[in-house]
Amino acid sequence: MVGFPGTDERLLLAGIEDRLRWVRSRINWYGLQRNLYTLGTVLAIGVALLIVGAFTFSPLWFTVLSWPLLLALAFVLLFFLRRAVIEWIDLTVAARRIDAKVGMKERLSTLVAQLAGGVIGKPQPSQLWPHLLQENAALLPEWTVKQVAPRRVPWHILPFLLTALLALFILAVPLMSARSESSPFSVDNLRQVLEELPERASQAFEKQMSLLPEPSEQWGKSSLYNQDPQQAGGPMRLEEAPQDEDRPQEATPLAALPEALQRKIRQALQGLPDKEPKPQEQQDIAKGKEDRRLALRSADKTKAPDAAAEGKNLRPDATQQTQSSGRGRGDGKNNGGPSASGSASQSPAQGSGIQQLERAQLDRKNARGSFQPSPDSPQLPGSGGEAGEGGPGAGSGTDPRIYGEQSVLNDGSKSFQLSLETTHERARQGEDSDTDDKDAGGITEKSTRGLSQQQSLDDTIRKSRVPAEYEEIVKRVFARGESR
Amino acid sequence: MSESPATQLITEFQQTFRRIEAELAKVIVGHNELIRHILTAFFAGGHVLIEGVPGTGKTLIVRSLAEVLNLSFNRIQFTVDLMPADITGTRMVMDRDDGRRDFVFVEGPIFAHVLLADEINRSTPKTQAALLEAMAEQQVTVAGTTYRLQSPFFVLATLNPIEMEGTYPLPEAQLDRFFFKVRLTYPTHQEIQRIIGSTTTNVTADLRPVFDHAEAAQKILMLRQLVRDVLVAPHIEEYIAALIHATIPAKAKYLSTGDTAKTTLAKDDFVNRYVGFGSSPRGGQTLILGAKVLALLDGRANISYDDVDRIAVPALNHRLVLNFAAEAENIDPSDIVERIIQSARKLRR
Repeated sequence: MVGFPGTDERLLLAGIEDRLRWVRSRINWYGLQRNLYTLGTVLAIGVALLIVGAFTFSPLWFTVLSWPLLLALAFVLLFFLRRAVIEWIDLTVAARRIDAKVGMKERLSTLVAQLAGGVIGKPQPSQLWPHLLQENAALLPEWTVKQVAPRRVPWHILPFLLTALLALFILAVPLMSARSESSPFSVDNLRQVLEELPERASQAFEKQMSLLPEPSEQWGKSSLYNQDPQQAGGPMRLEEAPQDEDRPQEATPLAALPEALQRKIRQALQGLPDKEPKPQEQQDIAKGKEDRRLALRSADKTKAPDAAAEGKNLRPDATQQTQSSGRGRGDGKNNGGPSASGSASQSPAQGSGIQQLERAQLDRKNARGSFQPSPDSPQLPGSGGEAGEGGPGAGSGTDPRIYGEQSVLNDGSKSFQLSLETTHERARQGEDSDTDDKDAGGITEKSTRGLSQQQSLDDTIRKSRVPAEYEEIVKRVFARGESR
Repeated sequence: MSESPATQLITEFQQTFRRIEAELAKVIVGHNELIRHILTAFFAGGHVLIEGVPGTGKTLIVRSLAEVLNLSFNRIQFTVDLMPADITGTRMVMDRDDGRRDFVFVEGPIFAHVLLADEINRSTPKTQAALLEAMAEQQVTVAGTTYRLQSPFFVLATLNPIEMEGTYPLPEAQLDRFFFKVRLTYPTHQEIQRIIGSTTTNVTADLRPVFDHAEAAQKILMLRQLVRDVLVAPHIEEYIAALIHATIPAKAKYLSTGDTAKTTLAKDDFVNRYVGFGSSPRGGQTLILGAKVLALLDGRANISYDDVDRIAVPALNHRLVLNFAAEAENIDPSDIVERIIQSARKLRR
């Protein structure tokens, strides 16, 4: 019986088969790589031609030329895929190749053919079978994997890499060219792009090495522009929060509100007189130990806000921030964002600093996503690798709604109400910044100064109980109206 | 490391074969390739047709071979008036001891291990057919009674290419019965010098039989069995089938239309132009058996592509039926076979 378990013959057959499988996998892997690299080379050239053609030819000519090119690329794709499948060999073919390469006169392939024919466990196919096995055992050192297997990586990778780089460069030329450049593949423009390429590459390399996550869209901008939003801390979120108003998790559609309330909100959007908060009120806000958000207040104003209850619908990290908000407003470092960078992540929900920022400054930040805090801002820039401390008006952490997890409207228990006496007052200009919190543009409920006629018309909305989700927008709307 | 029994058998085959070659070389000057082909066919169980001009040692080769193998030997000189019974034997009326007369079968010269059919093309087709039938069947039937021929049975027929008047060329169907057809060429200058020097004295070559007479037949049958035990890989069989199929012209009659073989060769231009009929499957059998003998001689238990190629010309050249164009242009069948072998090398991958 051939290949009886435990015999030397069985071990020898297993050894031959193992090595043959290894060689076969190397041959198959080599063939697959060769076909894929060749295919990639052709496709890269085709893509490069398409890009150049898109900027060089007229739309009509580009359409006329691109379709045959795309068809050719599709044909090439199918051709090489088919070839890769055809060149995938089995053990018998691998044995034949080894026979031809080493000059074994078909000894190995004959043996493998017998094994593939199911000779194991059966009587010997011939009285000469032991001789064939003995010869193959003697020739085993002649065909080591290193000798007969192809290289791990075929040389076809070189043209593939070259063409891939070429295609990437061609793809980058329009991106690196000025917007006004009508023909990015002109000689002058290519020369200019090539001249700027080392500098830009070095900039990109430096950014990568500095572990800053995302390169800027444009070259040559300020490094601050490319700061990590988490490291940038609260200011980044301050400006991002208003842009994210349309996030479905944060807001209920306006149409879901009562019609009278909708009408008032729409009227308010048309503008309200701008009122700056009194310095005394700002001081009150800065000194206040409780959360200024009215929606988080209980009906009993003497009762402290339940931060834990607020965090029910928040993410765990947001909950932590919310809970910490009750421990001290000025401790922006402790109440920082989940990244624990020390920079006070602050949202407009805190109502403590955003009103202090100039509108133009906000607009610039919205445009670029960066924020350079002013000296009296709630965010003080850090030095070196350390995160900055929270400024005097730093908030009590990131408002959880920025993270968009709060999608369930409360049942009215977490609503707020604007009384007729409530107004937004901004700190007067020129007020002493040492004593006042510049960012204390919050709501002072007891003040009745500057209540305009139009505001008095907003009786309904001011008396209505607005869901907490709309606290921000209502405050902003009123603040905007007052600023006008 | 001790040799396995299989290795010992192969070694014994090699030694036997080379001893026969060495003994024949004592009396045959040159013709080494021819002798190897003859011995190959002998151990493969086939018969050989030798074509050559007179006086080049055809009869001497066969007689010497029988002497070396220590087998019985007969010679039949084929003539026009030779009858089948002269070959196979006949029933004769013989007197018995009790005075009665009875028909007794008298064996013809075909009842021998080694038979030399000299100038086989000079006899009539009827006589030729009697011999060729006996070659294929290894039996003769006389008066309704079948008689088995001795085994091993080996026929060496010769053809005289000159004096073609009054001859009967063998039909292709009967040529196909021969394992090989080899050509005995003129000896070289040095070989002629040795021939005339060694055969014109009183010194005769002392041929030593390789086998004892009693066990010769049994030994040869055992070696023939060993030849058939040589292993053949499927891709070698595919290669041989492709070679056989490549000898058939594209527009030949009786060509199968449903052939979907993947390894068929493209038809050679020579084949399409000059070949009327290609090789039969017997050609494939010949290629495999001949290659097996060569593999054993090389000490292998399996046949290789090279074995097949080396045996292809003597195995296939007499199986190709050339057309008039080939005769007009003096095309030799061996040239066509060589071209087919060259084109078939791509199948080795």
